[in-house]
Amino acid sequence: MKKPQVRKVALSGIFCALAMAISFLESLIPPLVPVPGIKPGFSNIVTMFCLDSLGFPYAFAVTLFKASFALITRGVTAFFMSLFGGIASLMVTTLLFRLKEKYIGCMGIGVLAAVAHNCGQLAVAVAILGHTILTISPVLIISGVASGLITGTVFYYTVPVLKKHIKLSDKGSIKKC
Amino acid sequence: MPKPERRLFKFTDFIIIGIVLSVAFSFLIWGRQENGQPTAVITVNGNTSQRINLNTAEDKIFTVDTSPVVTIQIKDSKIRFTDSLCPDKTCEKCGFLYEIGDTAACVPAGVVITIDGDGLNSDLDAVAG
Repeated sequence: MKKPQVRKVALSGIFCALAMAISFLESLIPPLVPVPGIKPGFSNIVTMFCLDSLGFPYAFAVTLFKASFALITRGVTAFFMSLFGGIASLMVTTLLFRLKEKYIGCMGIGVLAAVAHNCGQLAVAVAILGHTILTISPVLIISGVASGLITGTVFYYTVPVLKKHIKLSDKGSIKKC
Repeated sequence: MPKPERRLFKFTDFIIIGIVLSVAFSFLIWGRQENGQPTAVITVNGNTSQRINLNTAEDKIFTVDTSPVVTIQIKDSKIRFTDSLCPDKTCEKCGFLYEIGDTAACVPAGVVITIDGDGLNSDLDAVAG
């Protein structure tokens, strides 16, 4: 097994902090959907960037960290919602990043990741509350599209800037994208 | 892993967003086919515990015996969570529910209130499948 690089570990720590800050800001927004724990998921942007720059294991670690933050601050149900939503969107993002750039743009990835995030959370809600909660699925999908458009746009504009300033490898800087 | 620069928007993104939105709208139309008297359906942990016809219901406040205990109020043919002993209080912020399709939930207590038509709620099963 390769040793994790110090810079990458440090950077993923920063991502965790960033994800936490974004979830906190998100909790100040009045809930779109009347189910506690289901949120727009703007912290997806952190997962996306982490996946892009550090790779899957680090992004997974950030997702787990986000979920445990939810566990501490908002309880067990929020933990499961954050975990399943996070893992679902991580999977979708990982797969979509594999696609060649000519097939899909940042907005498409953002939207699908956000919808996957919401579906993961909805699945947990169905498991806990029963299928009546599915009546909120249209609202959830539409809000997912909206937040996906935002995260996709933010991703597109921030990544080149961040990549320019962050040295990933201990030997020399990474290539500009 | 260095990656080629990705465009902000490709034509396929239009198609993706179109498909996703049309799925959402079809759910929306499908889920709201039922008309008739608005009926509050209260489910506890997935099992229907009460159906209340809101047009004929009297104004009252009652509690659902779950942990944490949830208090529900019916007023002017509208229903809402007034008090929940859980930490995050999201259900209380939803306010009154009165239109068919309105939903509020208290996840820690496992209580959902949905406003349904007074027919059987078979449409939900169709959405679920």
